[in-house]
Amino acid sequence: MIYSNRLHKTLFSQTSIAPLAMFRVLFGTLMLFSTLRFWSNGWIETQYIAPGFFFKYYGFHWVVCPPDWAVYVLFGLMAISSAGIALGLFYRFFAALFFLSFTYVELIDVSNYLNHYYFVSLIALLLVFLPAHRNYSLDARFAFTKPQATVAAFTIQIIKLQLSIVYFYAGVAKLNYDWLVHALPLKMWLPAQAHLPVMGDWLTYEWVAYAFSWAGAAYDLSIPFLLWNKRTRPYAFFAVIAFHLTTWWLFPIGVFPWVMIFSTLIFFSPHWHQSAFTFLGIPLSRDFAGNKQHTPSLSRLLPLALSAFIAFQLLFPWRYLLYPGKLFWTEQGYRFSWRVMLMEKAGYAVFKVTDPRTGTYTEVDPEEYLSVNQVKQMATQPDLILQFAHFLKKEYERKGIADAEVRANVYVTLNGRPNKLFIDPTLDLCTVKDGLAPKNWILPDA
Amino acid sequence: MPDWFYIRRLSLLLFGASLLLVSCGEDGEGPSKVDFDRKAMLTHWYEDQIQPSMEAFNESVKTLDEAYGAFHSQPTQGNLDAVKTTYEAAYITFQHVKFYEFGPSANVSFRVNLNTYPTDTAKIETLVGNGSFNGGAANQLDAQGFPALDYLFFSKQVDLINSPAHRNFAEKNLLYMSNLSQTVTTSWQTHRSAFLQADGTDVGSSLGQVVNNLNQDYELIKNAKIGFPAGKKTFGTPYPKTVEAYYSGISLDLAEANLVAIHNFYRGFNSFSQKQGLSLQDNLEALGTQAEGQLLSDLLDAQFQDAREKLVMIPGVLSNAVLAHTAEVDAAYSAIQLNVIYLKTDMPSALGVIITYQDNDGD
Repeated sequence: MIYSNRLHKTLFSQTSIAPLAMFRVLFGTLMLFSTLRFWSNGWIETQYIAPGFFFKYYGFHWVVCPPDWAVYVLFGLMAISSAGIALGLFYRFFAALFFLSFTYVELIDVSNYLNHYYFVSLIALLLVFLPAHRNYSLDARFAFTKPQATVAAFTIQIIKLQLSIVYFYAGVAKLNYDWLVHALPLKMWLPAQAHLPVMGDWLTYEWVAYAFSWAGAAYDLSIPFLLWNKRTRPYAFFAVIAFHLTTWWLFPIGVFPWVMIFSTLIFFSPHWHQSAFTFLGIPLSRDFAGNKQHTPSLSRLLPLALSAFIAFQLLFPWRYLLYPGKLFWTEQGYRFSWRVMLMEKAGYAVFKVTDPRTGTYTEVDPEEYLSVNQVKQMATQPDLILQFAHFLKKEYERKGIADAEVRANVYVTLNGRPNKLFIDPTLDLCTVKDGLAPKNWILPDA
Repeated sequence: MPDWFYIRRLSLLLFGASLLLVSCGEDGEGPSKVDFDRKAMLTHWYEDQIQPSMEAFNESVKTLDEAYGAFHSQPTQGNLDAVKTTYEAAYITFQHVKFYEFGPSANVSFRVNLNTYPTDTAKIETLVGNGSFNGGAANQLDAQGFPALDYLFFSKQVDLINSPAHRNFAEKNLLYMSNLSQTVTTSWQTHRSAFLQADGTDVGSSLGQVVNNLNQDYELIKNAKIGFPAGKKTFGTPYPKTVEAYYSGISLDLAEANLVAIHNFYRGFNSFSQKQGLSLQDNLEALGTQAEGQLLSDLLDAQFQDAREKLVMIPGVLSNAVLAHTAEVDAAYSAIQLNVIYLKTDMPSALGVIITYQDNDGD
């Protein structure tokens, strides 16, 4: 009973809204920046306008790429709604709009999948239901919502828990043979950065790759605990900055380091966040309810739904255990599991379209239909190879070849080992239906 | 939980790590330090490879232009024969520079403008008829450059000696070509610091550009030079007229020159400067990457050699061989393709070269 009382207190006691409100401001601002960066890099064009074919997520075949103008509208909505989140203006509406527009865009093409996009979608979904706008917001200032000085503690703990899952699972994923015993892929990636000033030469030593691998795993596994503990927190945050700046400096991983650095601020004390708001000149709106308990309107359902949300994330990454073969090779159950910067994989795929009436075949280089990024992603991921084969069947049907058979010669190198045949080259991929069942046509690694 | 709990755990972890480091230090599977001077390789590439090759190409176009000038004012058979010789020399030299399709060359779409084939002979005849030539325009691409010259100089349909209209078209095309070649060569001369400063491995770096373009050009040998005419893209139906240099019949010489140029570049040798320097092969050797029980650097070298040997086994002219000597053509095609696999997977992977501009967190 004592334990459950303690748990109850941890989750439902009233605590300052400041950390949650600050998280809202930082997240919204970063998303605005990230959306504008994506736009100005010309990636809307290269990712969503130029390709004539998009790889679908299993179960989301209904998500189609809208007409060009509508893609820009979607990104416009993303930008406006992330500003709405940051300002806390019509917050629930904009949080929902951001979640929907962002997630829809991410679902258009699997080949764009990044763990940090998944993270953004999850956080955005959470924010829709959290009272992050109840203070330090325009909604509170203009009394569109009843200002609150406090919130139930679980509305903040849930974000900490979400961040902890990301780190811890990323750490668990690093506990594999290649990473720990061979320092792969860092042993390949670090010497490639030998040109960098000051530390460049240092990166060419093998022991540095080992040190980075082990330190990276130790960091991911321990940082949630170190952030949660009050005494270790300042050191932990210093480690957060050092770790993410290093990855930002070494690898092209976009805004992710900044998202993580700013997100982990939520572990800091309410007092720290209140001072930060004072420093930023964002005033606290008066809470007329005084010391009364603030519980979200969906008080009974919300904790339950959040528990399910967390349970899903704790379980889903383990689905790979249900598949035969090596995870990094087959990638069955690889996504949505915080497997970040874990392997160096490159592939080459040539497709053979056979006309069953004549027995003759034609070779198709995927470059004829796909963007550079799509080709790169497809050539190492069996489900995408399958989708492209089915696309080719339709494409050649259109060209007058009925019932075309599509086979693929795919060669993949993983973590610097010599390339090997990846899938069964004799199999007509059109006879295979995509699904969650194990893909027994993937050839074994080693 | 108390702090010491974490601290003890962390120190245990670090202790374990250092033990492992010691035990791994002796497994001898890779170098303990990657010792390779990438900057020196880039310098060699710029000074001994790209620059001399571009200069040589520019010279060869000038020579062709001069020979044509002589023919243009005195259209004799003797002068035309001289033009043909200089044309072949320039086209061969072009094969040594066409994989530098980045930086100044990419800015002017060098390769596409000089070598879009098969050339559209009907379009050329129309343009000859109305006396227009709009070098570099989108609708002119398949009626300009070397492939257009090939038709004008060698086709039996064209009587260049007696047709001033055709001669004028050839002159305009050559003027366009020599201007383009001069522009690119001049631009490369001032591109030194930009090339050397981009010393990373990202997609915009010089190494990234070289690897990506070398691969792309090598794939063009497989697909455009041989695969398409041999029917690899058309359900086995050969299209002999789509070979490069169909009218002069020097397709195989050009393919071989292209292959030799890429192979030499890979090995760090340049036939114009006669200089040897740090190469992709040296870089891969320094990384110690293995493939098929040997160094990847040696395997690639051997496969380049094999592709060259298979290519020269094709008898006669390619437009005939795709019909009459399919076994030899297929053998060459396969040998070239085998190396594509290693060039596009193992090599960029080992070098840490990135091929897209996108954010990355996956592999």
